[in-house]
Amino acid sequence: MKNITSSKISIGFVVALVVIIINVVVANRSIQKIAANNRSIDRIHDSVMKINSPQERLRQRLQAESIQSLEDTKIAVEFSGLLDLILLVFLYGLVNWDITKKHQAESTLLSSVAEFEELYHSAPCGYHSLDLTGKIIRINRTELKMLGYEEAEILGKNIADSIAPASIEALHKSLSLLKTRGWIHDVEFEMIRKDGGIVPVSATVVAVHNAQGDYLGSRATVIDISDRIKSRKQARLSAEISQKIRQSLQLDEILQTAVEEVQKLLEVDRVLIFRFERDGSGKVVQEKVLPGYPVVMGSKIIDPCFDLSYHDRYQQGRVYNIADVTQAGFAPCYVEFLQQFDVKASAIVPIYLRDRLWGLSIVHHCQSPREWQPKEVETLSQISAQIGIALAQAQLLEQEQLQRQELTRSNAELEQFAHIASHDLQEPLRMVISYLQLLERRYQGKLDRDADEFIGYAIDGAVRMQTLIQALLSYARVSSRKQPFGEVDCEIVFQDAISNLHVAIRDSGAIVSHDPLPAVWGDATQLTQVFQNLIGNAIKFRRESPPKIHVSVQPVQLETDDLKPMTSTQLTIDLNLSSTTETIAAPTAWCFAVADDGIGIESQYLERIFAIFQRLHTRVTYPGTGIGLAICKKIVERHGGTIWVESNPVVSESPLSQSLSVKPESYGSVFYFTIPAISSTSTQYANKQPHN
Amino acid sequence: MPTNSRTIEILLVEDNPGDVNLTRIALADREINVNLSVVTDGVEAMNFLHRQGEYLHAIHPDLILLDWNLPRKDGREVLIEIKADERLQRIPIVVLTTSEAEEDILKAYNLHANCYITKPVDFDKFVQIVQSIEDFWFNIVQLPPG
Repeated sequence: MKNITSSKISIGFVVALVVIIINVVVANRSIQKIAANNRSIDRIHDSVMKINSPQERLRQRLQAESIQSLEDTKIAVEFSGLLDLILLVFLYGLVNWDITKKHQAESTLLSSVAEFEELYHSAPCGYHSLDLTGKIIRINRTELKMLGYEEAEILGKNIADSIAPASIEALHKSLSLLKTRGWIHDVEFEMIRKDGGIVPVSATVVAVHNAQGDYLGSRATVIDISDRIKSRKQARLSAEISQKIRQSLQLDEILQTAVEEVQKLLEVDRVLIFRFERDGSGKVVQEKVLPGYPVVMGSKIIDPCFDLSYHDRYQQGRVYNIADVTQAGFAPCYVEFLQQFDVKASAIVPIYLRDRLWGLSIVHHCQSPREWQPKEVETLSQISAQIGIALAQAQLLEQEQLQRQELTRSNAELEQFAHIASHDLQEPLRMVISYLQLLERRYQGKLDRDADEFIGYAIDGAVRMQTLIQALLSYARVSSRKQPFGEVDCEIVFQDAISNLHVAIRDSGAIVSHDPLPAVWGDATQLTQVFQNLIGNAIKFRRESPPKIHVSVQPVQLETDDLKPMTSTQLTIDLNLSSTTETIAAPTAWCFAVADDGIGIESQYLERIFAIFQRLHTRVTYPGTGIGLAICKKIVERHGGTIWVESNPVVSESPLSQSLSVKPESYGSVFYFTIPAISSTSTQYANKQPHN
Repeated sequence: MPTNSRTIEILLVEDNPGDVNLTRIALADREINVNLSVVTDGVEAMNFLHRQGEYLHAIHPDLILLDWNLPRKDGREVLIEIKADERLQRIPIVVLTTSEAEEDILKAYNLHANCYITKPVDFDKFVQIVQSIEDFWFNIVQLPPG
């Protein structure tokens, strides 16, 4: 290097001695050359500056050097004007030396530029730079390829022209963020390719500002996110499919939805659902195949080709994913079998019903072999899992429906049994009673005293039996002779009950009073029976004095949907409301109370009295079968209500005391029952009648 | 109360001998002369009315007491056949049965039964009903001319 420098200096001497003027010319040329150098440095600098910061520092250094050398040259030219030959020669040498140094820097720089250019253009991501107005002033090959343009075609165009309409808003937002914040990170855009196609990209952009902080433009890194978008779309579709599958509770529907949706989602030529039989064999139960390819469902699957040990492997969760069936090492007969259906590639995922292998989801590619993406196989697995859940639900539902049918059937059978048995039992019993009576008629006093007594007992027992059968029959009739619900005026119901009881009322001297009674939603005949049975009981279980009975009513808000029997504490009785019906605002039900001053009921029997044939007294004191309250309970429950009793209630705790016309200390029992009010929920109640 | 001097012919279609006997007891000891013929199922009833088989010399009845539940051919079928037969359809038919089922009652009247009576359990009531039937049809009602 030193030798080169000294030879250049000696040439400088010769030149300087011959033509001094040339010196100036040479100096001028040098200035031009340096300026040119500087331009190229600038160009490189701009290209390189965005790569990274050490390169940026390098650029700054190079530029500083070249600027400095330009200044030096200018001074040198001034000195040459003084024709100070020696100094000039010295300076010329110095300048020449400096140029050499610059050449060296230039060559180093050029190799760096080439390196950075290479890196810039062959980066796996796209790069571009925009000016202040958004014009593309630089773009790398990767991005050009991404968009399908040649460099010349796109330089100078505004970036907005390459942004799809769907992303224009995102672009504006990003630009304003760039100007204010200075950067955006991983913002998704849709870019338009030259051919009009759409490329989804993610852009990370940094704003460029000058020293004064003015926005000059931006530099962007752009990544093609087609795969990201596709897998996101698949995930969404797969979720949608899962939901579709889960929506159905019908097995066929579930499987059909599954095959159709999987075909669309994975863009395969055939989708099969294969179901294993108990013996380990199986058959295709659902198929979606594109037109032009053979249908598998229904064709006979030749057993020897089907390796049953697969079953165990699937049971262990094995997933098969075969890109090319001819390269998978299958038995020749199996490959032949697959080829018979044009299968080139296939993926197979097990379907489990709870923990047991139920079947397989199979997808076939028939047009060509296909490399399955892990995402695709995963999607198939997820959908298969959903199929399994849907199958389990469908099975549960089916079982539940069967149970419900069974219950309905057995209830109907029970009804029929009670009905028929009651009728058929009547016939022989009638014989027994009639002939015993005939016997009594003809032979009383003709046999001995014991015989008369025995006949008496026999008749008594037979008559009682007959009464019980009648009672059972009337209990069964609550269901068998039920009428559809409608609006029922309880005033009328009450009057009917009273008129049916007129003999008992007359004989006992009972005083039956009542509040104004509302209309309710129910079966009038049956409600008449409830009032009649309760008032009848109040008369029957009286003390010695003529009974006083009062029927009152309160609006209640029942717990919605709660049709189960409640205790009285679950029932809210609004004390602030008067008992007249006009002033009561939309109750969900009415709570009726039948209060008497009779003998009352011991607390341990309060529940039991509603059971069929339950009696608390001997037939001698209070005759009866013990069916009346059971019938009341059945009727009230059919109406979605509840019935209960309080006996000898403490006055202060009874909300009904004010409305009762009897003296508090003489209370016997109060029977309460709820019946739905007429409102929008009436139909709901009617629909909810239990099947009994 | 007008008394009919001729013998009244009643056909009782009843499979229960107990009921047959009770009916006989109820009809006995009455001023009216009653001839009670008894058949025990629907097929025999039709044979009797058509004077077929062993009933070649059967007498045309003035009244039929028909049980509803009968072996072989039940009361309902007998009722349909009688009411469809021009020679028999004028004979009053009293359906006398244990059934209180509404559908049976409706069915009987729909098939033109003349009345439907549920057999009472009590012996006295039974006798009373049979005698009432007798009174009604033979002392009160004008029967079609034989």
